[in-house]
Amino acid sequence: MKENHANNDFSFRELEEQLQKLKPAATPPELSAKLLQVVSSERSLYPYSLKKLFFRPSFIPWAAAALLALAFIGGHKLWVSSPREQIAETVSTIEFSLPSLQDIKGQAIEVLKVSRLIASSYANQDAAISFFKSINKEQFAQLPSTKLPPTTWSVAPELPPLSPKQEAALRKADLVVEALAAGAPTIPTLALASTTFLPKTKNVE
Amino acid sequence: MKNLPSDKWREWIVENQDKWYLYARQQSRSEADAQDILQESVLAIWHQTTSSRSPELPHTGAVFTAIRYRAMNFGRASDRRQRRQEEYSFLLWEQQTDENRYGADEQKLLLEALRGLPEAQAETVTLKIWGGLTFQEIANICDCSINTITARYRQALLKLQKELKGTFSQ
Repeated sequence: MKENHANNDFSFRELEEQLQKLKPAATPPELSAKLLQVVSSERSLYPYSLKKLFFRPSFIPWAAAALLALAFIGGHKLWVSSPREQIAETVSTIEFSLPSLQDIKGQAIEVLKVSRLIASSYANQDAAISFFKSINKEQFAQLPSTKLPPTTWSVAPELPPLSPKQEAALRKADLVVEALAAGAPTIPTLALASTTFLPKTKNVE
Repeated sequence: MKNLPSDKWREWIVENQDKWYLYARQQSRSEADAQDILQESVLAIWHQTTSSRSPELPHTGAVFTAIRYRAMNFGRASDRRQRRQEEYSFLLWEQQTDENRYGADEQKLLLEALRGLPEAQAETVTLKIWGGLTFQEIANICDCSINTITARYRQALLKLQKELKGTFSQ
């Protein structure tokens, strides 16, 4: 019995050696290329990722416009246009409800249409981005066309007057605010809609 | 902490892809499924490692585990076993060159014997021989005890030994 066991062990080793001589079939070149692509390019990995989508260079102007508009809405809704008592009342009785898909789609298209106008008023994307970053509520308050009550803004009179181009763009930004005030779509919705509906901004120097 | 450079990842994939592919084909019901499963598994492990900013490449066993999990999710069709029985031993391994000690007839016998193994035993042999894993690692992947795995392995070799009696004798 012992001898038989020893023979089996020897045979096992022999058998393992024979098995190891069999090589697994080679991975098809196209599959191998896909696997290598996985680790060599982050961008190719997550075409569906909103995070990556949002930081695509071609999308930055639209993202900046959307963020800016949402920031305006926050200030406008919560701190500017409503009296403090009303804010407290609104906050205490606020009800959350999901808008219908059709509503979101309509609003997203509307907002993006206007955002596109703003971005296209600049010859290159860098200038558009800097402009969006530079806008603040003080400058916004200087616009005679704004519908927000000027007294509720902390106006800084020492600010230099806006150039005609900036003023024109801010008027368009006002439209963005109004559109968002009607029911702002979420940023991921904007991101998805923009890549679906909008062409890339040309970077013309 | 910085992520691992992509060169290291590429080397890691090139080194291990054949054995992952072998296991994926063994676990799936079609060639297309196997390719999808392998791609998703590598992607998941890569994402998991880079998200945690681990300074080390993951263990190859992690990919085997991911393949197994995904293969189960892809579903095991009723005809899978039959298909596998037909294709198993002849498609999963390369035809050997004459540098091997044994000839075409012996190789065919070996492949036939592998084809006759029960599914669980074949999986254990694959992970052990071609996956290069330890029994403990295989037990973790298969979610069973190490005793079960060693028993499966021993039973598989006994069966192969019986089928191949006299074939490889010196």
